[in-house]
Amino acid sequence: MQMKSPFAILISGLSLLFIALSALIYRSIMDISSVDTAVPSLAESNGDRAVKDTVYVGVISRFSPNLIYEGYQPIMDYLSDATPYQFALRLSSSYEETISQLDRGDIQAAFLGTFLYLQARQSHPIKCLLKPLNSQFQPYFHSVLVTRADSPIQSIADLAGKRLALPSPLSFSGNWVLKVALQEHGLRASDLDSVHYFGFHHTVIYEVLRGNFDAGAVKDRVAEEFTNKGIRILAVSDPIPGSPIIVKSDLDSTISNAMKTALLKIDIRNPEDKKIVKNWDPEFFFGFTIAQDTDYDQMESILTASEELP
Amino acid sequence: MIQMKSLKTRILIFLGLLIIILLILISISVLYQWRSLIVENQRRNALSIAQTFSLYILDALIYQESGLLQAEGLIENHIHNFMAKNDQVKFIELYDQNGHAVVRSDYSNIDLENEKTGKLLVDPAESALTIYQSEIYGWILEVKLPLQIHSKSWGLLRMGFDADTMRHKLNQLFFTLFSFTILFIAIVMTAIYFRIDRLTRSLSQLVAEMNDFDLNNMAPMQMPASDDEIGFLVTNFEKMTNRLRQSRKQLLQAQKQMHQAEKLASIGRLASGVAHEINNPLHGLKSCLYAIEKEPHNLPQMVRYLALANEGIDHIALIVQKLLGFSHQQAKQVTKINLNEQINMVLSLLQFRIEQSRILLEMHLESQLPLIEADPHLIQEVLMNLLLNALDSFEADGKITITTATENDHTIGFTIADTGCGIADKNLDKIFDPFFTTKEEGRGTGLGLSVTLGIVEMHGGAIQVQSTVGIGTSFQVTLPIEENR
Ligand SMILES: Nc1ncnc2c1ncn2[C@@H]1O[C@H](COP(=O)(O)OP(=O)(O)O)[C@@H](O)[C@H]1O
Ligand SMILES: [Mg+2]
Repeated sequence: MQMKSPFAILISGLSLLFIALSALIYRSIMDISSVDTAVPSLAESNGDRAVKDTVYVGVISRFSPNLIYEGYQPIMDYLSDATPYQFALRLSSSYEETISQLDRGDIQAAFLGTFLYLQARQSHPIKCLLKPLNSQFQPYFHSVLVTRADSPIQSIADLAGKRLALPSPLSFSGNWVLKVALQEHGLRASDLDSVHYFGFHHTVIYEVLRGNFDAGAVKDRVAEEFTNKGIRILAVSDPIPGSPIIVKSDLDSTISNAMKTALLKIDIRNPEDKKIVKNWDPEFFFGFTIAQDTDYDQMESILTASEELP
Repeated sequence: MIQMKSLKTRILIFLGLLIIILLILISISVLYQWRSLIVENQRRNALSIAQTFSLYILDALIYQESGLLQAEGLIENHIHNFMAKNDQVKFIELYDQNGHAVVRSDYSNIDLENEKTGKLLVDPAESALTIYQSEIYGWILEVKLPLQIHSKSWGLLRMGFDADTMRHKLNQLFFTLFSFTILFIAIVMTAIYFRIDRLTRSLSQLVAEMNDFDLNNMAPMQMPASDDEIGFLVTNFEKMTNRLRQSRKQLLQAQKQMHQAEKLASIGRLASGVAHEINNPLHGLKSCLYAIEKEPHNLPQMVRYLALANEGIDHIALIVQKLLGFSHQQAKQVTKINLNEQINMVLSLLQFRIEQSRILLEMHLESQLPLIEADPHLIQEVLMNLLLNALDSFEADGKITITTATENDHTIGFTIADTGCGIADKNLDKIFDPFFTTKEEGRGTGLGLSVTLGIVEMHGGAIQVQSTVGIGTSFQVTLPIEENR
């Protein structure tokens, strides 16, 4: 018996240790409380900015508002950092709404479409400031006509009797199809089965993809997003001067000059700048160039062109 | 019971502990790995739900802001629908960019007064995933996501997910692994216990076998065969036993030869005495024959002389018979003998030597001495050896005292004391060694006392010696009355 007792003491000691250890582990297992602030959120934190004069910038509703915030808010952030002013977006529910905002003074500058600009400059005190460069560093863009990749439509001539989806009646792309492209192929709008306008360029693409429409017209930058995803480009317009950033004519020139300087400084061949434009809307990936009101004069004809020419 | 400290036991205990510790470590690491897997999974799940939901809320806020969407209570509706479908979502709260609550899934616990003071309730830019115990909902996994696009903020979404189910899972996991570990430890301990038990059992069996071991018992060992160290030990023990038996056989052989040699030596020493003993009757016979030859017709004289001659021949025959009896060699044969008779028998062989020298013989023989069970020839040898040594111890004259006595119910004893030269102290513990002698070559073999000791011990008796140089020596022998074995 005396031989066994050290053994028994050892065993009971070890079991006690084991139970204590188990209890400890159980507690640590069950205590799941934790704090983790390194959670991926939708955006980087909102650094405190000094209170500065705010310049409101409008954007025509060419895209859905969240897409506009995604692509345009970084430009505002950049401008706020690079100029002594605070820049903020003001979105609208329609193309015309942006013009009204300008009239009311709700916004001092705006991203307009080429067509809308041509129309608005006739009766509103605005001047264009800058226009974006394309991937060849040219200040142009193209409107394109698209169909589903598997569509039998091979040329504009095949569009007769088909359903056509267009962005806003005030978009250049829509006007180009109806007033230029169709006429070049001897068609008229009335030869189509139907024409429908949608709010956003992306909606046009989705409608074509869904098969609700046989063809659609959008900016090249939007069509390129879908060329590998079921969309085929049917026709491309001549180069069109890029959608301008405009300011109200009476805007303090120090503000417009500051905007100009900041945005012209962007050169994406410089890796620092490339980082800045990373989150910008693709239309502005390649920077800007100075825009003169006269740059757009040659396009004036599209305003007056009739949809019903032979 | 065999010591628990044997090498093998230690190794087994050490091994057992090692296995148990290893097992516990493995269980712990598995436990923590699964735990982090469960928690991480839950966190990711909650985060992705919250992110998806926040995208929707953000879109709704932006559309409302742009005037594209004018549905009343749209967000509230969505929150309630969402919660109805996701029972793991405990609460959803929406704050504006100033940190004030805009929409809550649960207004029951809200201090409205506090709310109205417009105090900042949350930091709308802070994104966090927190797990904590709330008084209302129990364990909650809370996700805070700012509704933000780049630097533009629309506020913050706060969603609470049920974390009690996760704790339930962890609890289950713990007890599963715990019982698994306990079970495994029990199995390991039992296995080790039985291993030790088997080991110690066969060891103690071996020890018992060794204790009971008897060279005379030729029965083989009763040990189960095993191929471990114990089996090895058993085989070797058996081999050793056989070698022991072998050498004991050789020893007995050698002892027998020694015995024989000593006996022959004693006979040689007796020879001169015996020759004298025979010589006297022979002279008498010769005288008788001479007288008869001289007067062959004196019949009465012839008859007397023939009777005398006959007596002489009888005497010679008796002496020869005694000598033959002494030299006779045979296995131990126990009979009931009278020690006194044996003493007289040996003395008769020595009679001549004693008479020759001027040695006084004193006898104190107990007349009622009980018979003892012993081999008469061997006892004679003992007496002969002791008496010869006593005779050898004298320079010229001296006295030999022979005493017999009953010691107790079981033993008798005899003493042979002389007044000879005595034994030096340094030799006292050597005299029983074979071949130890102080006598000149040819006279002493050094075997006498060793053979004597062997015979006495064989009969279960004992010898004691007392000696003083120059005064004398006394050998006291005790013998059991009944043979023990
Ligand atoms: N009675 C005795 N008196 C003195 N010495 C003795 C006596 N008995 C034995 N011894 C001593 O013991 C020795 C051993 O005796 P023993 O074995 O009989 O051999 P051995 O008689 O042949 O010498 C003797 O040599 C002697 O020295
Ligand atoms: Mg002797």
